[in-house]
Amino acid sequence: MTGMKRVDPRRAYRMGSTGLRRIVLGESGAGDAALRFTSNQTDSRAKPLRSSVAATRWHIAVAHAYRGRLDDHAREAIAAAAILAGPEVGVLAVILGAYHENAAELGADKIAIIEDLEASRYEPQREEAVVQSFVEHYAPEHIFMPDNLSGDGDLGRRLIAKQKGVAATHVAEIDAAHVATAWSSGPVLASTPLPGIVLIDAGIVDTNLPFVGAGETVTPPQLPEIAERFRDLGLEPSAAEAIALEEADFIVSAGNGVSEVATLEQLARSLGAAVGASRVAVDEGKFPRSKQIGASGKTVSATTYFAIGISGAVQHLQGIKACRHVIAINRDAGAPIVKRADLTIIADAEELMQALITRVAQAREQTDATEANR
Amino acid sequence: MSAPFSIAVLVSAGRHPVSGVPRACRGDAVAMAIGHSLAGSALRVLHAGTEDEPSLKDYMAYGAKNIEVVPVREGDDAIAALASVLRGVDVILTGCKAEQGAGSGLLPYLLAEALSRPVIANALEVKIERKDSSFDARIRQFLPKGQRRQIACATPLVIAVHPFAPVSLKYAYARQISGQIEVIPLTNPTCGAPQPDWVLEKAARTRVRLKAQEKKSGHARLLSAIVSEVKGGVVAFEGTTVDKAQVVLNYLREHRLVDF
Amino acid sequence: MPVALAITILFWLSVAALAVGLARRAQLWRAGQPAPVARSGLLAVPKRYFVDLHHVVARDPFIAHAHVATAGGAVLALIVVALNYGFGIYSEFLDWGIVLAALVMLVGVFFVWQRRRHPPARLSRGAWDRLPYTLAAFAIGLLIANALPTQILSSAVAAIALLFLLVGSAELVLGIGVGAPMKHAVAGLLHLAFHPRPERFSGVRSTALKPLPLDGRELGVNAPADFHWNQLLSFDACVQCGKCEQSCPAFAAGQPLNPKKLIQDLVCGLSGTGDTAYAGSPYPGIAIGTHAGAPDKAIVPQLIEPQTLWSCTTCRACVEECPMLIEHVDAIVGIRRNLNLARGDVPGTAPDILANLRETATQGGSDNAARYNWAIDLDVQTAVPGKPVDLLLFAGEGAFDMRYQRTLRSLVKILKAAKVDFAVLGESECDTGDTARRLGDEATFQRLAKANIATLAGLDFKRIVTADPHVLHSLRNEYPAFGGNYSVVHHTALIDELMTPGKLPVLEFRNSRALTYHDPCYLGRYNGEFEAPRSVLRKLGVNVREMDRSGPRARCCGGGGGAPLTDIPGERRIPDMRMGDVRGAGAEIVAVACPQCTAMLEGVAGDRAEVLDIAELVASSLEARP
Ligand SMILES: Cc1cc2nc3c(=O)[nH]c(=O)nc-3n(C[C@H](O)[C@H](O)[C@H](O)COP(=O)(O)OP(=O)(O)OC[C@H]3O[C@@H](n4cnc5c(N)ncnc54)[C@H](O)[C@@H]3O)c2cc1C
Ligand code: SF4
Ligand code: SF4
Repeated sequence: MTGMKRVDPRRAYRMGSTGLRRIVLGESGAGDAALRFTSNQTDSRAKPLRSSVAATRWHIAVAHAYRGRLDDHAREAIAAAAILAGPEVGVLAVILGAYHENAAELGADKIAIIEDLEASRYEPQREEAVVQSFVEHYAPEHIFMPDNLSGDGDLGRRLIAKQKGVAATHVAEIDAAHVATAWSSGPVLASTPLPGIVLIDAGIVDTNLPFVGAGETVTPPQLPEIAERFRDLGLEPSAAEAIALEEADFIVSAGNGVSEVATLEQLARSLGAAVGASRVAVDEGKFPRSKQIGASGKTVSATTYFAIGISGAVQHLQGIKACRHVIAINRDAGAPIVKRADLTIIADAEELMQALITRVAQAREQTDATEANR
Repeated sequence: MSAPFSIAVLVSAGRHPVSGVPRACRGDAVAMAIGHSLAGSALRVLHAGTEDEPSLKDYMAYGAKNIEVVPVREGDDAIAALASVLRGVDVILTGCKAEQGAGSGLLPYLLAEALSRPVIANALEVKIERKDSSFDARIRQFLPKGQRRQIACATPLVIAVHPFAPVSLKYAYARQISGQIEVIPLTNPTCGAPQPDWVLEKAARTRVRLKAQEKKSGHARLLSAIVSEVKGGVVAFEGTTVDKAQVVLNYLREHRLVDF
Repeated sequence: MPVALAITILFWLSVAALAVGLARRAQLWRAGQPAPVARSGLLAVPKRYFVDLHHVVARDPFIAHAHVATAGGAVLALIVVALNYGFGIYSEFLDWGIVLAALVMLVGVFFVWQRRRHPPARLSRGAWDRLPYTLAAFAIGLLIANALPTQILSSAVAAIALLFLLVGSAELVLGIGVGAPMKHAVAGLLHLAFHPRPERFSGVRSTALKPLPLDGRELGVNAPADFHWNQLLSFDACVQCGKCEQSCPAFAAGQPLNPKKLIQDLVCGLSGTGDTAYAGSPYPGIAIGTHAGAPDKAIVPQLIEPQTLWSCTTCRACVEECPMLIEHVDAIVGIRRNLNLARGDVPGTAPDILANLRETATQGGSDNAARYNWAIDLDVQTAVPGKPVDLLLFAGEGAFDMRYQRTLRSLVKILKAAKVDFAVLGESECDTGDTARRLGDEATFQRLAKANIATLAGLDFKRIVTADPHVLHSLRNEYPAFGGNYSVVHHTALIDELMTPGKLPVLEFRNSRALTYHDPCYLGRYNGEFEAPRSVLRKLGVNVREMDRSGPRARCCGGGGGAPLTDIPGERRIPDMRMGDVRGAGAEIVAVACPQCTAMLEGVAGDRAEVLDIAELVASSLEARP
């Protein structure tokens, strides 16, 4: 469920004059279609097993879990391992840290959860040793990992350096025959046959699979006693509001259409997002200059950019070029931001923010309740 | 300024991602700035490559007074060559990703392995403190979403610097014309770990996402074809405010942008 | 004749004091770098004073008249005193000449006193406030000594007269030596003789920055002594009238720049003093009294803080207004060059933009091959060697801006309608380097200029047209120093030319909304082109509602000199003030002729006039054809 353009074709919509697709709420049959995705748990029972043959060879996917979940990027690594596996190849998912979802959905036939290796701690030597023991046991043909900055990219490179085999990092395209990476960070790709260890970039694998894996749980090996050469002095406490905009992953940004700064800040808090602003909002003194996003402010690369009451002037859009998901709230369907946004809600900013704050609070409660039940 | 510990930074041949014009690799220039802040002019600046590499001028403009070139030609093992020069150096700084070629980000790891010493990546700040008779590096490590970790490790070690490290790069033309390049004599570098054979494609193209083969009915394929043609985003403009809030939440959940 | 003798002695003492003072001051100027000057400049002083300088002063008739009377009276009186007393003629007839001159002077002083009673904020106070009194003392001393018959001139009265004369003469002759207000008279005249841009006196708008040798001792100005000696001299000519301050957009916006204070700080620097005695408006937000300099000490930050230098938009409004013909922009860019080239110290996003210019020859880090993507569907030919065209279109950085592409497309439409034989430069075009140069990055500017000159050398064209006044200025005025000599026209001038009957089938611009025109600094003050855009608008049948500040005195949009990149905070934004001027003229449309102005004025938030380029207005009237 990752494709931005994946829209339920049965959802009622109209084509706008600008060629934009507009979904219509409140029309017959449309309301519930729009409200359908209230849960992110997809029903896996309906899907067939990827392979019914006993595995003779293996793919291993390794990734850290955070707060019991795998992020999209990590899911892609496991899905890649499964998609590229032939019928006689099994998929072992090695998940570092506590994990409460079901990796069978991602095609994992065996799942090893090493709860003790939390991503919040820094123990690269132990992690390396654990993965190494799986590698020795399964002798995988390929190892797949997400190339991220939160630990997997580091661990993957340590493995590569140890194994001295052929490996590829920052993989931007992958299939059974080859991997490709952006050459000199430019638009041209360079490719090579699928190597032993593959560290993939985000967004290159569709994790929406037509099959499931066997999902058998493997007891993790005994953790080796290792005296780390590194002394982990711990994570610094950080608050979402205090995150530098350049590295925030979720930004709620205010424009001239935001009248109540307090509401916006509350929304940002409830979503765990950093706060940004357009120049007009900054000029009016609602936000400090350090919050300004755009040509004469910060350039941001958040995965999610929530533009509230921002018209989307070119100077502003320049600052959000790298944002993957742009959601806009605006009163005016003709505002330039609508062309840039993946989802635009035509509404009054204040009212919608209030409604969203309420809805998010409810949703959080529900999730917490299910977590607690587990 | 001299430092009681020895320290070096490795700088690579940078290229602008759009124009391909030679320049100082941004990440390496940041690492160099950290090195200067730690040791001033005692910082050694090394480049594995050839002395006529045009981007070296840029490093001079960014503050390298003297660049030592470790002669490495195509096909040579740069890691082995660098390791032979850097064996006695306490702190080795590198960037996280080269701008030219595959930019694998493997160099600091391979170098650390070759020198049998630890490596810490994504360093934002580095402090070197005396501890008994040796030195201890204290590193503030970058983690996504604004998180930061503190790590300590005894020297010698390799530190790969994250490009967000809080230093300001100052490009001064005057330094570019006053800097110097020196070639280090080197005895035959041995061949090391195998590298992938990258085959460069001829032109830029859109990347193909890996997708599982699905046995779909003809009708379903048709439908998905129609859907994938839709350009631009979705606009929700009718319905109650609560409905609309739900649309936002659905979007966030559908794309796993929130964890509830 | 004891009084007469006393005057003779006083006169020669004064001459001696003046000579010593001048010699001392000249010593300070000579700390500067050598500059080629023509001694014949000394002979040209009267013309330069009465014509060129007076041309500027006369914009304020009150002070012009007061100054003519005061200075004229004083000079006349001094000449006659020199004859009569200096050379010991002691003729009573000549005494009456002195009396007459003193009376004229006194009248002038009266008006100076008037102005000083209710001084506008731009005037400096302090020592300048005593001038009416000391000058009056001089005139009155002369009157008493010369008008009263010797017989009734009691020794007491004579003593008073001499005292008055002493006070007045001290003001007049000691100024140059001790750096007091009357310094301006001597330095001002010498400055007119040895002006760094002598071509200004032959009616040329001399606005091109001088090339900086990139192998020099110092790259740009680090300490006051790195200025050319005649620049140091020029700073000493400043009368602290504050005309520059009054016209400076950055000062008005509350940014930490005041060109008058800047010149005065440089005076402190060349004379090795601090700014405690300065009695004018400060740099907004920076306290007076904490800065000091010396000829060989770095200017930044002890004497002038960097944010002051980076606030300037290089609009030249100050230069345009300065009665002493001082060149502020040259001074500012000179120091910026050192900050940039020697220290690499540039604020805001400017370092990124300069890196982009070095690495991609575009400001935005864009793909240069995409520079003419906006013209892909317009069927426009790209210039190639060996294929002559009449006109070459040089788009500039605006080519990457979606907004300005509309203007460029309009221009292409007009050229086609007028059946002009033209081609675009295509991907071999580099940025002209204008922004880099204003930011002090002379190295990048020269590299880009040479690249463009090499490209243009291979092409066969008669003229270059551009819609960007910054491109116009570089190509027309600054490239010649590097061997690139072209005939360059701005699109408004070309359109004006094409609108002569028969060529371009335009209709009247049918729009009832009131329209005003904003003069871009780099088109107006830099290139003297005020008429063509207005002529085009007239031919469209538009009645331009002029803003208060238009033509040579137009207020800057805030977009020049890299100021939007260094982005020094102030209390207001310059474009907002300019939009206020538009509103003040009652206009609903503001016609522009520059991509920077377009971006700046369109960036003004809230209810504002519509911003349309002249090319867009003309193109839309072409469309209106049935
Ligand atoms: C050189 C230059 C540099 C610039 N740099 C930047 C920069 O770095 N960053 C930047 O942001 N801008 C920059 N600008 C300014 C930019 O051009 C725009 O003026 C600015 O981005 C507009 O901000 P805005 O969208 O908040 O305001 P507006 O343009 O006023 O838009 C407000 C939007 O909110 C909507 N709205 C109003 N009320 C409501 C409501 N109650 N509910 C929902 N929607 C509502 C309106 O429909 C409108 O679309 C720059 C301009 C220039 C010239
Ligand atoms: S050029 Fe313009 S901005 Fe700069 S000092 Fe002069 S008036 Fe002020
Ligand atoms: S620099 Fe010129 S305009 Fe400014 S105060 Fe001095 S004399 Fe007047």
